[in-house]
Amino acid sequence: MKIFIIDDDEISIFLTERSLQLGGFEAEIITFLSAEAALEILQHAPEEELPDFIFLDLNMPEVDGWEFLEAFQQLSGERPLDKCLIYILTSSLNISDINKANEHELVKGFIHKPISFEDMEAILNLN
Amino acid sequence: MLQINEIGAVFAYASSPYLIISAGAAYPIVAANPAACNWSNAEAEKLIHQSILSGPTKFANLLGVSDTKLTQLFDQVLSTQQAITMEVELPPLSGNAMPDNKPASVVEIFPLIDKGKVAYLVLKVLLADTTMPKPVAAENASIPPLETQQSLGVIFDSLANVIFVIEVETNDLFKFSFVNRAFEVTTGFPVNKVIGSYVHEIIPEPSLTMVLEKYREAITRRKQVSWQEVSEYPAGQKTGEVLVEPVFDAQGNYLRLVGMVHDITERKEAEAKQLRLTQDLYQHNRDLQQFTYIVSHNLRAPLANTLGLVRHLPNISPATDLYQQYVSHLITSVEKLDTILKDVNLILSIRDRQNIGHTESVVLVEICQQAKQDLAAELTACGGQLTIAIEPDFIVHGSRAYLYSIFHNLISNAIKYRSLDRVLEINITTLNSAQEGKLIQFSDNGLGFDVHKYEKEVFKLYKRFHHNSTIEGRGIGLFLVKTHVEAIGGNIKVKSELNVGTTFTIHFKTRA
Repeated sequence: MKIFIIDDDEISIFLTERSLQLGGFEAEIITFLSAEAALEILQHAPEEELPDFIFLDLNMPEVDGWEFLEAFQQLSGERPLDKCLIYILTSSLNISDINKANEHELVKGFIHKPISFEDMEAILNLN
Repeated sequence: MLQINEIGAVFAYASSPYLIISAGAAYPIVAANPAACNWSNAEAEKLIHQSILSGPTKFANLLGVSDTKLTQLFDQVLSTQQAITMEVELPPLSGNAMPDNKPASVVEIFPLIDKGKVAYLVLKVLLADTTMPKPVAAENASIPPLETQQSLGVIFDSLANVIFVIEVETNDLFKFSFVNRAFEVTTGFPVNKVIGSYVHEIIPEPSLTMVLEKYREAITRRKQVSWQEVSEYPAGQKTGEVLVEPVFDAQGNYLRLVGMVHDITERKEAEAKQLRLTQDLYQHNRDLQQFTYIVSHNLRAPLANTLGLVRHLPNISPATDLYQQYVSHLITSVEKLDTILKDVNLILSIRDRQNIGHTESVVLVEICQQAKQDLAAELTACGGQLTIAIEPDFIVHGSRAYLYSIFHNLISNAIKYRSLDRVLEINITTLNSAQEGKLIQFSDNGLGFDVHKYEKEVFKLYKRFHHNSTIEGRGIGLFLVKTHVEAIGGNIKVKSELNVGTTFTIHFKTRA
């Protein structure tokens, strides 16, 4: 199993990575400090390098979470990205972010930081 | 002689009740203005044609006199052809909008004379609660007889609304044949200059084109036409509600135009001021909402980290490197929380002082020089050039500390976001603008940013546009610049091009 974490906050990445390890995800975790860097991999990496899960932050400079989703949608025309399940992982409490995420067809779920054991259990049970 | 609908129309806006009565037997009412309808609590259609003496609306009762007395008064005006002014005690009214009648009200009865005979009587009631001159003598005070045009002129001059009469010479030649005193007060054109002048000699463009079009419309549609206009007159910019009525003779031939203007300049100015205030308040409210949102969002991020780290901590053995890592992240997160709270405090303190009048006259070039000097080490280190070309007489009224902060922030930002491909050049210059007077322009040849993408975001708190972790910053600099500029009553705009540079234009209030 492969997991991408996309977040501009290094401490948050550290914490999410540790949580996933402790929460039972037996996976190779690859972290990105910017959405561009992650898109670069999604566009060019061989199919077996593509992730099963993406944990995506919303509030990032330059390309933010929503723009990442747009680019991802465009990429999915040419790349086999169907198996990548995207979860929004954000510190945002904004209702409009939550609603927008729930309506977005690419978004599998919305998680408030910090990710909890219950969140991870739910993801593992569902998939 | 003027037609009844002309005379009636000019009384339309008068606040006192006016009735025009035919001089024939039984004295039928031929016109009543809205104030008269209001006073008598009857609709205009019901009043017209009914006799003022014997109709269902008992005017004698309303006036507090007997029928015989009223008939006597009319007969007197008819035979003497002189106006009568008398004080009356109106009985208390019920069921209409007029206030209860207080002591003396005044009734005036004017004859309208045509070819030596009285054609109409005008009955005017000055109700006691309206400001009015006292009648010259108590009862039966006589005024010298006036021919119709003259007596109408006297009445028209007493009205606060602009009245004008226009003769049409050809389809496009409109000449003022009469204007009242209110015309002079409102426009600033002397009455004797206007009478006899053509409309195009008096009314300025762009109003003229519209006005002439409306005149033609009234003539061709044979109907009253009204509109709102804003014109520049010697007396200043005026906004008026204009109403023009075409007048026809018995054969239906077109005779002239009678117009009225209701000056609503003050109301319009008050409305515009209110709108500006509302917009200001709305903007402030939006800013505050956004501020609250941003602060809560940015507090939440380090808080969420702290929360997550603390939850893991009990399960990590203290003597390990991992434990040390957790502790160091915890310290960083809590320090970040502290920084944000300090930012909030700083921003609120600037806003707090926004309306306190501590301003001084500051020579702007000195402030720029001081900021340049304080950042000299950083400028030298990157080999950057800062040129200040501001005249020493450029004085800004505001807080010295805020002005220093503005330029210190702008210069350090320019250094921070310089391009590594070229030597940094910063120019601070003045610029003359037609609308806003003198402006300050601050430009650099740095990294720049995509102005289309970030135009709305650039001055927002905690927004950053360069994903380069080697550049330190938390996105507060430009927010503070804007807050400081606004706190001293100015505004700031930005233009930028990716990889070319950024230009800030600042408008300062140059007068206290």
